[in-house]
Amino acid sequence: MDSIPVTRLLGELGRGDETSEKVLLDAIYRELHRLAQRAMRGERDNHTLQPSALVNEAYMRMKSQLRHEWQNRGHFYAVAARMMRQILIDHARTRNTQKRGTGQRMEALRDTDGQFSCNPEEILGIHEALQRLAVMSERQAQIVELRFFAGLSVEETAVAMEISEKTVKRDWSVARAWLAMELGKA
Amino acid sequence: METPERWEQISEIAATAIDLPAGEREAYLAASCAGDTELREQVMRLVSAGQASFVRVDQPLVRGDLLRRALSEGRGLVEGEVLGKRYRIVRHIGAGGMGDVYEAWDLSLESRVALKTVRPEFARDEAIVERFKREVQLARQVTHENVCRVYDLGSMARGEDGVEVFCLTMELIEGQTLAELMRSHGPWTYEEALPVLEQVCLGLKAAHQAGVIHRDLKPANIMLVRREDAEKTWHVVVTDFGLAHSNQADASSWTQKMRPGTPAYMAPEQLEGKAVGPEADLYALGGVMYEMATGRAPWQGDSPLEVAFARLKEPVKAPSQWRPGVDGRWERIMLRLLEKEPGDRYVSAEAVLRDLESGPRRRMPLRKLWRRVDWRWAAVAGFVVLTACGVLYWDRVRSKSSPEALRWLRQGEEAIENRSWLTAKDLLDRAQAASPRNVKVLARLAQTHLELDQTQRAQQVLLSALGESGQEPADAEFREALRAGLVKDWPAATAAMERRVKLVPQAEQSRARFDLIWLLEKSGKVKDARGQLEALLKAEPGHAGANLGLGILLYRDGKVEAGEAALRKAEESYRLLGNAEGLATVAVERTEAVVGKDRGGAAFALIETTEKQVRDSLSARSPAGLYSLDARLKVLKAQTYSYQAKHELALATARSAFESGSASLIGGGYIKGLLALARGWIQTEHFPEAIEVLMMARDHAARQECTSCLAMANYYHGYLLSLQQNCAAASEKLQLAAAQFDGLEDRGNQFRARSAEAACYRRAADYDRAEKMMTEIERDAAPFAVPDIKSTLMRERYAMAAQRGDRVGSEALLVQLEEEHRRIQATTLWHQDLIDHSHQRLLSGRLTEARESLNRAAAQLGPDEARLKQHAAMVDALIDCDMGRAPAAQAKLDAASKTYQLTAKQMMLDQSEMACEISIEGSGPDRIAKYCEPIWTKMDTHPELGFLRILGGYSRAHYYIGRREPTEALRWVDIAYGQATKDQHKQNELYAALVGFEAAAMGTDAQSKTLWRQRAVSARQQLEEKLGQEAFQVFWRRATYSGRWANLERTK
Repeated sequence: MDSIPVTRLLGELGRGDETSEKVLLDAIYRELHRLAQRAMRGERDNHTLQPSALVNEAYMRMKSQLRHEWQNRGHFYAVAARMMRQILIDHARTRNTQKRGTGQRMEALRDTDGQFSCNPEEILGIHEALQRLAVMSERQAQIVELRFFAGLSVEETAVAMEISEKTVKRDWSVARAWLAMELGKA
Repeated sequence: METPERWEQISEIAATAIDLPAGEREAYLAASCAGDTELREQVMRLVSAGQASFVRVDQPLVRGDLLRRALSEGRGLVEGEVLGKRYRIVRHIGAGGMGDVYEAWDLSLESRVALKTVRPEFARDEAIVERFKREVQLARQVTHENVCRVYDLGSMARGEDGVEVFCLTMELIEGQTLAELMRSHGPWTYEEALPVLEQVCLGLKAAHQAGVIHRDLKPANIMLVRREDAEKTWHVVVTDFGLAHSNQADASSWTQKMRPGTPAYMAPEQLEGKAVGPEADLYALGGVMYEMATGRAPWQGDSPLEVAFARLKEPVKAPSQWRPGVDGRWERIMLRLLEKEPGDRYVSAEAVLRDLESGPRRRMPLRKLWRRVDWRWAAVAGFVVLTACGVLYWDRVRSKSSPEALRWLRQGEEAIENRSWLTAKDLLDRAQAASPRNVKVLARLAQTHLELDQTQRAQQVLLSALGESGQEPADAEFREALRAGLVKDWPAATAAMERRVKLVPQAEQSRARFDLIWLLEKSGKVKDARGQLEALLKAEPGHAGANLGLGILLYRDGKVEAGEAALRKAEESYRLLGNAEGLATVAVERTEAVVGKDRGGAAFALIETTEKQVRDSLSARSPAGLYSLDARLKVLKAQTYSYQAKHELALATARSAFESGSASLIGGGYIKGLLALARGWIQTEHFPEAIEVLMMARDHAARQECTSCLAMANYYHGYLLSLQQNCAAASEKLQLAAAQFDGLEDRGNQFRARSAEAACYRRAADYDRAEKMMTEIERDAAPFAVPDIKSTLMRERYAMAAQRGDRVGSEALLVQLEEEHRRIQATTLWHQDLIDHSHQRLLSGRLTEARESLNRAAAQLGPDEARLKQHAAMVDALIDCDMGRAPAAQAKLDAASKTYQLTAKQMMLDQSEMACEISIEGSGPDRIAKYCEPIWTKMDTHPELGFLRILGGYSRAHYYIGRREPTEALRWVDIAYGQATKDQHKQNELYAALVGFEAAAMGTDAQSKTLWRQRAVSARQQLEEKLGQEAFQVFWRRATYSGRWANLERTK
């Protein structure tokens, strides 16, 4: 997933002036990367990347800089999830490399309120497993993406993907089981 | 990893199984897996993995409420937030053109209100705010149950960060808008509509009495609230008095960037920007009624522009034409409300109300024939709603034009005359920034967008020009011409442009005529355009832009010398004027013309020089212009590279042409880059890639309405298909392309496309058809003097003669071709002819002569003619083969492929043919396989290609002879022999027979040996007869034949 077609996804969003919107979103994306990098260098958060802060910032910008409404909420979520996935993966990768380079202990991603933590290897493992899953079922992979990377509920996932809740539930249970096996292997 | 189909099957069963209680699973699995034990095991594994109490993905990486919060925060205000210490936001209700609408709680008055925010970009403009305030002051004085109350207005601080938000509070009405209701309701009857309309009239009456005019009455501004009475009747409230914001959800709204009012309901006088009174609201009321009664707006059109124009020009159709059952009285009321002249409408809302309730009291005045509106003369102020937030913005302020704006306008107009459209756009953008509402600037900007194929943009700009003041009749004609041009109504556009020429003062005559010429050219009337240019030049021989235009048109029409003369005059003028960009444009045009007929070293040098000139002259001024010229040159360069067999460079250059083109966003510029890329792929025989790029190009071309790009894409596609010998599909595409080029009067490409079709028939050995087609092309092309069509056809005829083995004919044609190429200075092609000629001599057995002429040709080759050098080296090696010097030939083959760093696979087909042929002589099977592989692959994938069956057949036979497998060898040589007999190509027949004998001699089958010997003898006899003794003796010097024959004699 070195090149998730974020721009393509975003391009599809456009009502109105597509070009400027794309440019804008690209700019937001770059800005987020910059933020994340800064966070990682410890200028701000002492080596702790805070996903929620990042996400918040991402969406605030995406939303406030776009003058008009997103096509629908679902579309917004889908794009957001994809963007977050890419950003987090990029960072997990960078961290992984850094770790190998310096022999330091790997930093975990940790939200300040301690709600969760996830280390880069884990994220990369999930990401790669999802890529494999996508080969077999793109829909299942996307459901996991929306739920894991964007925190959507079953209902929201159904809305975002324009499929029934029942399908989301069924696909989720299978994908979850498969991921349990895949992640257990490592 | 499972296949998607298998995985779906597994998923289906597993999803159900996971949910089942453990006890029921067994039975379910047994039933659903139906003996497929593997399936069952896979599902079992999944089910048991699914029992895990925690899987990492159960806990999201980010919390979902973050997203929800972000989404709502993105809207601006957040629920619970308190504005100005007074209004607490309850919820977001909707979004409008100017800002968002929230429900809020007024903490001081303890009541619910609607709170509208005004976007910062509007709130920053003091003039807007002032006007806004005045409107609100007025609106506040209206107190009526059918009018939405306005309370408060001003900047309020947001809690934490102290950011100010400009907002407006008003009565909160919970109901549906009439617009929403109309969507679900369908047409209304008079009885249904009456209770709603009465209340709208009452609201209007109250407002009008207070001196407030709504200005944007429309269904979206009429709210309906269900009354909790017995009949569940509607309470109607008219909202947004004097605010005239546009609702985004309105179908008639403009694009996101420019939000106009609602042209669908605006009165003509309002569109024209005249003073607006209560009658304007009455007109809009008529529109609302009309839509209620018929389900459609009184005027329709593809765009707001069209709708607006329609209203000014045409009378409205009677509602009963759409809906026969419409109440007659109601219809008369509507039509009267929709009268074009304000004075012909009702005098007041009250009068409407009276008629609604009791039928018309007076007879309607006879409807006058709708006067054709001479809107061109209208002094206009309004309708600039587009540029900002609605009525607020379009006061009767006259546009004041700054001196800079006028200077930029003048420069922009000059740039237009000199075809520097992107520079013009730059300048006009600057002019518009300085004087946003100058009619002339807007019109020129619209013209520029139109030229650059940005039709949407052109429409927007034109629409805003429509509402501006200070229109002279000539300006109005210009605008009309652009409008008609936008909808491709060329006759109307031309007529308007012609009227304009008569209207403008003497000093602007030539510019006006130039605009007419532009339009003629744009509409495809190239001949008329040329005539006009020539007339213009008669009066002003030094007119640079006219000379440039004439030069381009002449060149395009194949009149090279006249074209060059005109270009030279243009150049002279530009030099005198010190116009570097003009000079660069001339240089690019000329380069394009020259490279069009010669892709050799000279062309390349010219491109490089021009590239430098472009960079030097433009870097300081207009980046956009630079990019567009640069992109064109890069396209040319890519084409030239591909002719030089530098395919990788060609591809890379095409790519950067595409990038340069897209950076400048010139209409069609980047598409031409894409096309160059496609061409690169085709020439390197990367067909799938080529098709992909072509599809993309076609897609963009269609979207940009770039006809020439479309034609080119079809041409390339057809060309590609013809290379694949898919003649039926190829001719379809090529004919389409030829017709499109014809429409564009692009003769060169028109005939090239048709020649490509002929070549397809020729390659498929359908010689009659190919010949017939070429004769037709010759006939049709005769009146046009297209520079390279003669040589193209000649070359095609030569290829045909060569393919048929007609040595005499092909040599004669080659001589002519050489002459023609030398005459038109197509150097590379001429060099190619020289090498071909040497090759032909070799084929006839004139080996010494062949070598001499080859050496002469090789001496001519320039440093960048790599492809030809390789070609020459191959021919050289072939000569060695026939001189009986096989080892020398092999060494040359290796050297050639090494020097040019080409393996057999990367060679173009004609070269890999030669390489394969050389490798046969005196070498082992491995070498043969190495050099013949591509031919074999192609032979297998294209069994219909006769010449490949021959070469592939006997080279494979040689391969198997080398491996001492006579049976296989015979099988393949049989194919070659069969094809040669079919083609009646005696020479090939003889060669195949000789190889056949060689293979048979290796085996034990005496009968087969005799058969092949007989075939060889007979073929030799026939060839002797065909060529005549003398020529045959010469031919017989070829060791590849005579050597093998000697072998046959020996084994007698």
